[in-house]
Amino acid sequence: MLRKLKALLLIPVIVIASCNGGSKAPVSDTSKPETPVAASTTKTILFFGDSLTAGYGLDDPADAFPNQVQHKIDSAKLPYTIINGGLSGETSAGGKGRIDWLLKQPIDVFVLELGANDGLRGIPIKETTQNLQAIIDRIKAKYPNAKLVMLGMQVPPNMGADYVNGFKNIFPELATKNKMALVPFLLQGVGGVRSLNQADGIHPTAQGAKILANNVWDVMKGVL
Amino acid sequence: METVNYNRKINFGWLFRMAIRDSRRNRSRLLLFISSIVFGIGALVAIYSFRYNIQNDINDQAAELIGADLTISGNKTPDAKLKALTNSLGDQRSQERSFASMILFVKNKGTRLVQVRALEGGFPYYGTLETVPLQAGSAFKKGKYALVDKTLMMQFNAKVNDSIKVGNTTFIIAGLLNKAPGQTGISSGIAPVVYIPLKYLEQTGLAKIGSRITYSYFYKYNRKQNIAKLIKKIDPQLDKAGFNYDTIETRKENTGRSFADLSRFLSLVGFIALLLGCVGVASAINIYIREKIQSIAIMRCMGVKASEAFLIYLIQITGIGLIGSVAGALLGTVIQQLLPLVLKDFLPITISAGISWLAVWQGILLGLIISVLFALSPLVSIRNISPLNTLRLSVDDITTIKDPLRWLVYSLVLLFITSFSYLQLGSWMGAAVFTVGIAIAFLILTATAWLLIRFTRLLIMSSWSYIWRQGFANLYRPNNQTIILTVSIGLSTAFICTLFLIQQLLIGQVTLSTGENQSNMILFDIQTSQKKAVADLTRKQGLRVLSQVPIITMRIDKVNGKTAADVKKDTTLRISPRVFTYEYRVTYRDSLTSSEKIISGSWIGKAEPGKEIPVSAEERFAERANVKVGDKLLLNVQGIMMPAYVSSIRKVNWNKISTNFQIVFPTGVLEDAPQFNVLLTHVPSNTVSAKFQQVVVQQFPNVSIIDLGLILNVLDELFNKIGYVIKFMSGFSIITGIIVLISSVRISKYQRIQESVLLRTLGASRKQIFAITALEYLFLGALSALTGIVIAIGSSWLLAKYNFDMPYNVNLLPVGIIFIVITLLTVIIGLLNSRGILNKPPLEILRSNT
Amino acid sequence: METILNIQNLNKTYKSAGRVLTVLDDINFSISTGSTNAIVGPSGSGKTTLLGLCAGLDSANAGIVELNGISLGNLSEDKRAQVRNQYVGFIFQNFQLLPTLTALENVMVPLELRGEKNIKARSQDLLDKVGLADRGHHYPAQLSGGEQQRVSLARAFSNSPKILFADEPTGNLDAETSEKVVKLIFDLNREAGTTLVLVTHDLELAAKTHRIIRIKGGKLVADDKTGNE
Repeated sequence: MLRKLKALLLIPVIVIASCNGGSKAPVSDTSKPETPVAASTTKTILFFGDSLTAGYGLDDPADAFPNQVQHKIDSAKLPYTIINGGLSGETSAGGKGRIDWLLKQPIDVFVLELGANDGLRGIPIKETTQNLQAIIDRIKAKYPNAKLVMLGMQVPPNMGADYVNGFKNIFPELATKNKMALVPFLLQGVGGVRSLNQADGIHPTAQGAKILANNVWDVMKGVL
Repeated sequence: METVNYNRKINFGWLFRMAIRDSRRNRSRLLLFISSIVFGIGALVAIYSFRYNIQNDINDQAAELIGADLTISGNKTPDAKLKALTNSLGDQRSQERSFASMILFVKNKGTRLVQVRALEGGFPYYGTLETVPLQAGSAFKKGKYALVDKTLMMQFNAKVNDSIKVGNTTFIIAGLLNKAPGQTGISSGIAPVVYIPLKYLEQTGLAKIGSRITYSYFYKYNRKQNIAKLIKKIDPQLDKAGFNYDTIETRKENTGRSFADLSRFLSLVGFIALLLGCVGVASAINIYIREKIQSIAIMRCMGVKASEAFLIYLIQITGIGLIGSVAGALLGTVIQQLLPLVLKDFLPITISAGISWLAVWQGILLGLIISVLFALSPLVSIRNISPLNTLRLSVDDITTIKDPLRWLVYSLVLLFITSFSYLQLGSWMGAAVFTVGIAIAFLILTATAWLLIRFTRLLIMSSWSYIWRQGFANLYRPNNQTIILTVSIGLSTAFICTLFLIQQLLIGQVTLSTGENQSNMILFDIQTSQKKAVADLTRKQGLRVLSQVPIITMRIDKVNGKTAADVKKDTTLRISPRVFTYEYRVTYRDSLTSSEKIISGSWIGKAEPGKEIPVSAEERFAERANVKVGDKLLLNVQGIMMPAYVSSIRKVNWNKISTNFQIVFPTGVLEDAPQFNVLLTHVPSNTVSAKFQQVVVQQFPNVSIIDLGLILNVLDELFNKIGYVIKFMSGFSIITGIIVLISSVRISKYQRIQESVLLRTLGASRKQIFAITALEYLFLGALSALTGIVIAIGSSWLLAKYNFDMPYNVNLLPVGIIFIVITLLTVIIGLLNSRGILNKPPLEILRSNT
Repeated sequence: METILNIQNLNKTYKSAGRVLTVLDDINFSISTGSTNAIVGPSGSGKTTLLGLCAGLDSANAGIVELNGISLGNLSEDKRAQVRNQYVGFIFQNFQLLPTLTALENVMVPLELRGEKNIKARSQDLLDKVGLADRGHHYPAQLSGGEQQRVSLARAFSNSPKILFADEPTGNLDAETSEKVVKLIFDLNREAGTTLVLVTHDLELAAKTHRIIRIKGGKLVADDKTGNE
């Protein structure tokens, strides 16, 4: 009996964990620790994002789309190494607080993939926009020469047209304003397609992540 | 010459008559026997009734928890095949689409993420959508109306007849939603529910390609239907389509499980009460049969066969057992009326207090089994009573160890205890441990008594005064009651004391304080930049910041130089692979909290720059990662590698509502790391809570809030009630124990009468006999109680450690009181017994006793 | 004359504190149907043990006990119980009435055991004969010693035994009561034609029988006819 009661008492602790991104799955931030050293010879791309970047739910976190972009960079023999700065459950506000930590290392290309969790939580558009702008400002201040890429995101129609449209527009607007390259919709061709998503219907499978990588690469190859 | 008919038929009618005749002059003694099982059976019947009633109530009310006979749900658009299936089931059907959406409160332009449920049909078929006003629950389906969760209404100051915009459509709030079937407190707190009619879903424009919608179908069957069979048939198809089902049966199981534990514990308490009764039965019958030796020998002379003599007393005991069991069942049924009164407000279902005939019959049957089984061991020795006892009193022990029947009885008793405790505990392992435990306690007590007999014989010195010598000699002389009294008093003490100790530990564990220092609201996702502002806001609302903790997510890259890949390859490292895949939420601070204790190493509160970071590992984490103090960890804090070592291992009391961590960093390392903060506070009321939430959401939209107030209140009161029930039921067992004590001692009265009378006749003063008796019982009582307490401390420690998994400590004062009370009780009852002898002239007693 | 009880080479030993104690040593005698006999001897001579063996309450170590032609040595205790019920009556020094049964019920027990008819009336008749017609509903504790022994007499004769064993029947009674009880024993015995075996150290009582068997130190030392008819 007592054990059951204990379990009840643990609810708050568990809730904290689960609301901040699935904690059980082999979630990654597979930012390569050795990159700061390598950065002197090759250039660094920081993918800053949430569970989509982190590759939530994938058996092998190396299947996450930034890592698949790395394969394309390697095939193209470009001198770039990626850092996977994804954190499951990350919101724009969380990203704003976290960015300084990752900017300790020099960045040549910055890819921003945040906002999906804001959308699912119904965070006001204005709030998300401000947070993302603050993150961009931080990069610009520290590495003015870094190239910027914005990955666009959408929320499902069930959130209501006002919100859906407002949300969709955040990304092109910010991209234009900050002269960023824009991938209009990261999940293009994957979002809403059963077979390319995991059972939760949100996170892409390894196959889906490959399509994400293609979406990104189409824009990024012009940037590099 | 006529031949002897050796095959005389057993004349049961006559055996019954003899059993009744024989009981006539012994009814007061048999009353003791009855009373020792009445309370045990009473406790058990009360608990069983309570359990069955809860079970029935859950069965009756599980339907209301799910609202239909069968629910099917999934988050994919059903294909044609599934659609055909969903349209074929049930006599009445409803469907629902639910999804998250932003709704707008038109009046004050507030928007909020809610769980929209678009409903069509007569769901819920059991129970209702509890709304204010009442009729809104069904009336909202008639037009563009909505039902809105009550907390949400409060947050946005909305009133009935206000408008909300869901997607493109405006709905009028028809009512405030209090409760819907299948809805739990926590889920509604995170995403409050808004019901709209399904026919307007299309109009809202929210259900489009790409929308994330859960499809639910509710079915009601007018006639009884084998749902389980139906499920078996359709499950493969549902599974293929990615749909789940929920039936009343599955809901029952889930709901019943949480009560099973409570009632199982109560049953154990009742079982102990019953076991005490068993001790009472065994010792009462043992002495009763000893007094019957002469009568049995006479009957044997008259030509009564051994088996017939045995049967006469078996019938007698069974009859008395039946009376006791019926009385117990009656008592239990009366008590059972009280239990729901105590608990009714705190269970999600309404408990009925009807008479549970199943419990009554079980109680009676159990009482019968127990009386017969525990009487059997003395009863089988009847068969060995020789008719020769009529000519001369044999000092031969009638209990012959070699009698195979005796061993059969012992094994039956063991079998009974094992299987009955299995029924209570639900595990053979537990039942075996329990039975062995009782056997060991029994052996310890028998050994103690045996040693006592041996040693007092050697100890008694001729220099002692006559009274002392006589008092002590009573312990070992023929017909002594040392073993039987030591075992029954000791066993009773052990049971009572174990129960008492466990009860204290349990109550100590479940006492939750709803005081101001107990956090009941958690704010999380506070960004570092908002930390101060949120704390200030909390204080401005008149609430206390009970704690504010930074939380950093990190992972472990290497343990003592080994990576996940190494660990997978080499299982001898005994490091769980999960250690590497887990996303840890850690914190940093300069000191321990009150719920933590260092068990090895030493706590270091501040890291020295440039050196390895001293971290503190939680006990169970250290076990999983197989690390000791001094072992190295390579930590990946969101892209930055940090070499660290385990400087200490902590024990954490996870019972307290506070933020606890597997790994704690010292200050001076993670201050700059990406982090969010958690703030714990205490809100005094729902109104304050709603107002505070409103303010926080307005100013810090990214901060999420969980209000534990309601849950905690319910838990706290539930714990109080459980504590009360524990005390109440334990009290029952304790009463039984005392009755057993009284009967054991009282029964021994008949053994001492003859002797005391003789001493009186020989001129011993009343005072002397009094002193002799007092000494004998004092010694017996004290030694038995002490042994019992030692056994109780051992067994409660084992129970606490292995069964309840809680820290152990003994409060010696109450234990000391138990010791004194039981010893005194033994002496007092012993003396009260001999008072009768002392106050009457010896001759009267001699005459009445022949 | 017919023999009801035949004792041959009877031996009985007890083990006590590791030593073998011979209580009865090579006893031989036989008793004819309808006779009255006394076994006499000092305390501890083994006469009560002999009675127990004769009545089938105990089994011997060696020798033959034949009761009404049935050799008791080969019988189990349960079978002996049934032999006792059908052929044997008992009278004890301390009466040995069942304390929880009324006087009448005590008398009824042997008859009930045999499953006979008219038990109550027959038992009441027997109580009448011993002069306790109006005390049938009293419990033994409510009766005097003499009354108890008379109930016990009624009980002993209730199953019309072939042989009646009496162990010091007057041992616990005063002289006057003794006389009445003894007279009753002999009267009933004569009336029913029962064989009587009496164990006593009361020589006066013994003298009322046909034959006196003397036991001393576990041995049969004398076997005399008294000349009574």
